[in-house]
Amino acid sequence: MSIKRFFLAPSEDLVQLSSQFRLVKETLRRNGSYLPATPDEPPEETQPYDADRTDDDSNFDRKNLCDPIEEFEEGKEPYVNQGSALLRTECNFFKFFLDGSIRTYYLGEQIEDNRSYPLIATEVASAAIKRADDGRASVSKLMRKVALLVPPSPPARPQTVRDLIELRANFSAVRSPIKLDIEQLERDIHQPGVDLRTSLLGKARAVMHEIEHTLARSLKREKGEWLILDGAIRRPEFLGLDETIGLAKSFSRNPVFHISGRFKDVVAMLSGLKEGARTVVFRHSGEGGDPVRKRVAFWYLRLRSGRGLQGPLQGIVKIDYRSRGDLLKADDIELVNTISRALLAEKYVSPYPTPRWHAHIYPIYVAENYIKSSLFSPLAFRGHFGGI
Amino acid sequence: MIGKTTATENSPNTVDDFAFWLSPDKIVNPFDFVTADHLRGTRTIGIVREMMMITDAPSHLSNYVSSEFGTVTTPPNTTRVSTTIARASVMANTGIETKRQGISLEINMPIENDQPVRFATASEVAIALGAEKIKQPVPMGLIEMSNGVSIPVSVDGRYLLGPEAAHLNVSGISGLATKTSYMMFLIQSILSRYGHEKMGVVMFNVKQQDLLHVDEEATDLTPLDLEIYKSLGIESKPFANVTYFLPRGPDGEPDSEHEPENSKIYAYSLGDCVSDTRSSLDLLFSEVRDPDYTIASILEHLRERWPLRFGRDVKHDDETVRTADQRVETWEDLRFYENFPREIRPGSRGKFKRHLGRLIKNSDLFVPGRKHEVYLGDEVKRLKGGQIYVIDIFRVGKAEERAAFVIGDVMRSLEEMYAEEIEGRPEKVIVVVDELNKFAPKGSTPGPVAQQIIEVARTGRSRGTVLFGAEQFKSEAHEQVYENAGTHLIGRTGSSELSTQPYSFLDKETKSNVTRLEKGELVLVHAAFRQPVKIVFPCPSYKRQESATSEAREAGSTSTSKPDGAFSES
Repeated sequence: MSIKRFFLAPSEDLVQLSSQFRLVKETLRRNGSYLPATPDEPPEETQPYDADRTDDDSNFDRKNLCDPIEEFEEGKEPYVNQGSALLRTECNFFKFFLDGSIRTYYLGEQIEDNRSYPLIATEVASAAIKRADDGRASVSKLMRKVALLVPPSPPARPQTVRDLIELRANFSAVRSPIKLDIEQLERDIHQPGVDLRTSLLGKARAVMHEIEHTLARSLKREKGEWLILDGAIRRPEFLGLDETIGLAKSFSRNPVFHISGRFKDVVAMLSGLKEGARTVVFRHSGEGGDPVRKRVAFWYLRLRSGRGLQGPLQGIVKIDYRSRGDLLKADDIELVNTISRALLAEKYVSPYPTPRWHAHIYPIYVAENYIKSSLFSPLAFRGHFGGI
Repeated sequence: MIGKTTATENSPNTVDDFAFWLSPDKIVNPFDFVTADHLRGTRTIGIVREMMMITDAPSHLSNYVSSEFGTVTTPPNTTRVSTTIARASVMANTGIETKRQGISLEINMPIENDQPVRFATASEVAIALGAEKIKQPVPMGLIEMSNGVSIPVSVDGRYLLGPEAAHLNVSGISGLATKTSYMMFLIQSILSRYGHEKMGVVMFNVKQQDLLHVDEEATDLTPLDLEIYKSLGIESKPFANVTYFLPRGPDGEPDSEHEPENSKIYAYSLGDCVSDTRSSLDLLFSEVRDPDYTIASILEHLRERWPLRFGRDVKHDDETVRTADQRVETWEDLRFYENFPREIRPGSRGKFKRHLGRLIKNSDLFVPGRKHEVYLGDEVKRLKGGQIYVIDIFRVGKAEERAAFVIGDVMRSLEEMYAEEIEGRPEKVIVVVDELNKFAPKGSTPGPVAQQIIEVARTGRSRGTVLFGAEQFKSEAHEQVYENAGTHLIGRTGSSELSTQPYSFLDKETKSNVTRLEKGELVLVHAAFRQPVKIVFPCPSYKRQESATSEAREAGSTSTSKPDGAFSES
C-alpha cells in the first residue's frame, strides 16, 4: 500500500497554478537571470497600510476645494441631524456589501541586460455579501485572481514581455477555476522616479478594483437593493453602478471645504459633528478632467461618538455617491437622508475590536473575512509558487 | 448531509474525535451517530459528544460593544456569523480491504477538513458498535437519532453473561422507573435469545408489589413499546415458570403486599443457618460492629461445636429451662446457650445475645422449626434452567439487616450450588439485586453480606453467576461491585454525584449529557464499545407496580399497608 496515496492530493487549481508558475520561471530563466527571494519573505501588506485613505487621497489634493451642493442655513454649521436610524426590521435598505482584498508577494529579482526588476505576484479577490430580510448574511459571490505583475519594457526585455504575454494566452485557454494571469504595468502609470516595486503594488490594487467592479456589475440586484462598496469611489467605472455608495471608514485629510465664505479643513469641518448627524453633501469645485472628481458627491456621517473613541474623526464615515446635478433637489436630499439613516443602523452589530471598528460596518467585515479565508495562506502560496 | 468537518490550529481533529459545523437547518443531539468521509473511500463513524454555538465575536465584550455599549433594545441589523460546532468521538472506521481475506484495515488517522458529514445509517452504526464481531447478540435497546431513525443495539452475550466479561450495573436517580424496569426488560431480552432452559433467574423484590406480578400480562404497554419490542426481535410476553417466595408473617401467613398464586413462604430455622459444614449466622450479624471479632469468634465456636449441647443446666428465674444434655435446636435455645469457652468473656456473650434477640425477636421470619415454609437456600440449590425465582424482601426490610441476611444467604447458597455441582443446575444464574448501596455499601471493611455480593461480582463470571445490580448512586456502593461489572447503564444523575470517582470513566461531555437524560433513557457503557451510547427501551412486558396497585385500588383491595422502614425509594 502506498503511503503517499493516503495524503490529500493537491487540488486541481493548485496543480494548474504550480505548473503555470513553473513555465513562467522557465521563461524568465531563458531570458535572463532570476534570483528568487527567500521563502520567508513576508507578504508585502504586512506593513501598516490604510487603503481607504490612500484611495481617497488620490481624489483630493490641496488645490481642490469642495463646495456644498446642498443648501443649509447661512452662518450655521453645515450639519443635518438624521434622527432615528432606519433599522433593517423597518426597511432592509442595504442588501449587498462588497469588499476586495489583496495580497502581494515579492518573488525575487530578474536580471536582464544588466538591468534588474522585481517580480511581484498578487492574489486578489472580491466578495459580495447579501443580507436577507431576517438579518442573516450569506455570500452572494466571490471572484479571485492570481497574477504575476510584470514591469514595462524597459527594464524588462521586450522578448521577455512577449514570451510572458504568449504564456498568458496559453494559460487563459486552460479550463481551471483559477489560473495565472500576467499583468503588465502600463508605461504611463509608472511615473519616473517612483520605485518600481511601489508601482507594481499600485498595479495590483488596480487589478483588485477591476474584479471588484466586475463582481459588482454581475450581482443580480432587484430595484431598491442597495449596494455598499467598501472604501471610496475612485475609479470612474464604479460610477456606472446604480443604487450604490462607497463607504470609507478612513478618509483623506486633504480636502478643503468652502463653507459660508470660509475655508475649513476636514478636521475643522467635522469637529462639531454629533452622533447621528451628517454633513451637507459636497462636491469638488472646478471643472477638472477627472470624471470621478466631477461626478462624485460625498458627505460625512458620524456613526459613533463618546465611549471607546480616541480621536475627533473616529466614528465618522465618508459616503461617496454618484451626483445627479449641481445642486441637490428635495428628492435627492431625501435619498441622502435615507442612506444616512440606514447607515446609522449598520453600527449594530459592530466588528469590535478590529482596527477602525468605530467606522466599520459588520457586513463588510464579514466579506473581508470571507475573502481572507478564500485566499491561499501566505505559507501555502510561497510553498507552491514562491520557489520559482 | 448535515455539515462538514472542521479542523483548526487550536482545535484540530484527532485520532479520537473530530469536529463538524452544522448546516443551519439541521437538528443534531448528543449521542447521535454521524458519518464522515475519510481517506481511500472509507467512512469514519462518530458519536456526537458536545455541541457549541460560536460567533465571530472574539469576546463577550465585543458583543456588548456591538450593542452600543449595552443598549438592550436595539435589534442587530445584521446577525452575527454563527454556527453550531459539534464534536464527535470516533467509534470506528469502515476500513479498507487488505490482501488477507476478511481482514480490513481501519484508518485511524484524523479526519481531514471539509469532509461531508451525515447521519450514520443502521449498517454504519452496526460497524461502530462492532456488530459483525458479536457472536451471541443480546438486544439492549434502541438508539434513537435526531433524524427519526431508530437502530437496535446489541451487545455480545459473552461480555454480558461471561466468560469474557460479566455483570451489569445500573445507576441513576430514583423516581424515573428506569433501573428496575431496564433490568427486567434485559432479562426478557436475554431469555428470548439464550433460551429459557439455560438460564435461571433469582430476583429480589424490594419495592411493594414491584416484582410480584412478573408472570402477569402487562397492561400498560404502549404502541411505541410494542414497536420497540418488534424492532428488537423480542416477544412481549410476561415471564413464565415463575415461583414467588414470600416471607413468613404472623400466624404463618405471607408477609407481602401481594400473594401471587404460585408462591411459597420462606422462613429460617436455626438449623437452616448453622450446621457442622456451613453457617450463615455471620450474614445475620452483618451490620453489627465487631472491631474485636468477638461476635465472629462466637459464631465460629457455634459452627465448630455443632450440633451443640447445652453442657450444663440453664436456669432462668430459678427455674431450669434447659438441661445439660439437651441440644440447641431453636433460636430461643441459642439465646439460652451459655457453654462458651472461657476466652469469650461475659460481656461479649451478652453483646451476642442482645443482637440475636434484637434480630429475631418480633420477627416471624425466624421460626423454631419450619412446617409448610421452605428454606430459600435449599430452594435456590434446586433452581433449574428456565425457572425464575422472585424473592420478596420488601416487608422483611423492617430491619435492613434481615433483608441483607436473606440476600446474603441466597447468594451463598448459589455459590454452594456450583461448588456441590448439583445436577441440572442452569448454565447461568442471573441474580437481580436492587439497592446495592444498602447491601454492599462503600467502605474499606465490607460486612459478610457485602463480602458475599463482592465475591459473586469477583468470581461469579467464571461460575456462571451474573449479578445485575442497581443503585441510585454508585459512589455509595462498594467499588468492587460496580468495578467488576462489564456493562454499565447510567440514568439521569446529578452533577455532584457524577463528579465522584466511580464515574471517572465518563468524559465530562458525557457526564453533562447524563444530567439531562429523560425517563426511559440510559447511557450504555460496555466493554466492547469505544464510547458510551444512549439507548431507550420499552416498558418490561409484565404487569408493573403502578398498574397493579391502581387496579387493586379500583378493586377495593385492602392490601395497601406499608411497613415502616421498608425499601421505599426517596
